[in-house]
Amino acid sequence: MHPIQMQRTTQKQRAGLQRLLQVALLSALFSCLVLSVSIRAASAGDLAIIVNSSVDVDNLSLAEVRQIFLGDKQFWTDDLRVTLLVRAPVAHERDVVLKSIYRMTEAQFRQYWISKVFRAETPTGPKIVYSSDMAADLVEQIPGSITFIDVTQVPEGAKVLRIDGKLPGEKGYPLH
Amino acid sequence: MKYPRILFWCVGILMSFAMSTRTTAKDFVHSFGQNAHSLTMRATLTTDSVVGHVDSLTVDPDTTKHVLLAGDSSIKKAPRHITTYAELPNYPILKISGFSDIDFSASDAKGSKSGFSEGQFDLQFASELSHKVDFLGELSLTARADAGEVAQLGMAAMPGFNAEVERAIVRYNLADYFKLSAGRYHTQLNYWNTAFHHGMWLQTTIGRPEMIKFGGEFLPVHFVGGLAEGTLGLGPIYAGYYAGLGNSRGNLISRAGDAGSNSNERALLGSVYIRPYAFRDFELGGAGFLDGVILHDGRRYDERIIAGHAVWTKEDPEVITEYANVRHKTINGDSTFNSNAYYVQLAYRLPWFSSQLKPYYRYEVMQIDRLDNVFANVPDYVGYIIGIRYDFSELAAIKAEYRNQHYAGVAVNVAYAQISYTF
Repeated sequence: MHPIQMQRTTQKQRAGLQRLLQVALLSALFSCLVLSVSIRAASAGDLAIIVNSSVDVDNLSLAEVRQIFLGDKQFWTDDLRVTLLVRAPVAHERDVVLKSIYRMTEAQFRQYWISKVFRAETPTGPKIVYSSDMAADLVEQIPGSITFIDVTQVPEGAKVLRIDGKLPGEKGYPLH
Repeated sequence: MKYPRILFWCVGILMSFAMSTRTTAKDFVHSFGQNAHSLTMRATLTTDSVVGHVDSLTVDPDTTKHVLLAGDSSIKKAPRHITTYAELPNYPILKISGFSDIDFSASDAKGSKSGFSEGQFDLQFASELSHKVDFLGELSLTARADAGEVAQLGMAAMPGFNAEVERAIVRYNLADYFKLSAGRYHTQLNYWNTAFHHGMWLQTTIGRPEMIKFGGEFLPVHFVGGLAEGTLGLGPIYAGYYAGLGNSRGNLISRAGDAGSNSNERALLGSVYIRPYAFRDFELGGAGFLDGVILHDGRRYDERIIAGHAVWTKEDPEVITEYANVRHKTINGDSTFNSNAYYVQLAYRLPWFSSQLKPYYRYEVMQIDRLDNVFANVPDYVGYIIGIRYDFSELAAIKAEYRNQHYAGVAVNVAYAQISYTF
């Protein structure tokens, strides 16, 4: 074979090899991304219900969660009062809870609690917290407290409740 | 040339990644804002202004977050940062709120004058005294043309404000199903009386129903005594009850026995309601009230009141309907007098204009037994109101209302406007 032909053949082989490597690299990258997307999509947006360690409950039905957050159930036990910690407006978590638990608009939520206190059905409305950190911190400190935070923000040691027997990220988990 | 091509592919894949996870610009901004806010909170937080329970707070700024992986039912949690709160909680935890309104009215009633009037200025004090004990107080200041104890000072009646302790309730909470309290209440006999009362902003309309109007005699508006109450979750139904023992109505029957009972007899109050969880905005309730009424001239009557209500407060539509029967019986049982009242109120929050408009209508009737001496000063009433409410803020509203009222057959037409708010 002529040296020039050999050189061209070698260049073609190198170019082919480079294309093959590019395709392999991109495929691997794409596969990793798709995998991470599928993993993340399954749990992203799930809200974890966390409670103070004094609460001797591991599982609640969604109906019970509603009773608690609506202020209808104000005691875990005779000696342990429920303290609600709710995120301030604009937080995504609050939007999810208003939609899936309270089933109210922001205005209805405000009026609901003003009215409930006015009717002397409860001495106070929910405590307002301004970040997931703050919610997690306070729920750890206040006996009987309960709050909701994005599952990706669940701190170490927090007591996460099962809702209808399911944890956040599991199929059929109702709060997301 | 090769590297830009690779870069192009990588950017393309990253974009498809972002789209596939439905990450929107809003989410990104929200996420960024949340993180920024979190950092700000850690730097400047003093929780007295944030949560009443907390007196002081220190937070270690070194916090690391980890992502929870799907399919892993054992939640992987982030390392905990150190937080210290002092004196949790710090009682009493007092919250003050209030209601007020400004009104305008014009009527074709003989001798009436149109103009503005200041509505009640109502302050509410809700306080937790301990995790088992709480207090609710309510103080109203009412503008009146004849305010003050002017007769005792030998002065002519003059305009001013009358102050009144509307409610003062101290309650021990044993559990959800049993709470004991004592004090002065809005009588748990009528839905409107307890749900709205002086909270003009809370009620859709400007005016109260005639059967429970301020200063009215048909139903006892306030109750002084003790009350047991509780709520129960009965499967799909949320139920509540009230059982009370208190002073009889005063000699002036529009007043509760605030400064002491006018007899050794006690009034008995019982009330129940249910709210199905599937229809949380629906409430069905009934109540009974047994009392002995003593008039100024010493005549005594047994009083029995039966009342019921059905309400749907969803606003699209809103339906409130109540009925009450008041029976007075002479002590010797010779004569029995029955009077009835009811109203039906309909409203609908329109979906347009940011759902700020709510037109409403109410029809009401009060039929008094004209032989009943206890209700000698209570006229028969038939009337309707039609109006519209505009919520120009989440905590303030403008209402405009036309009323066609017939007191003892005499027609009166009234136009009202009101700005009501809570604070």
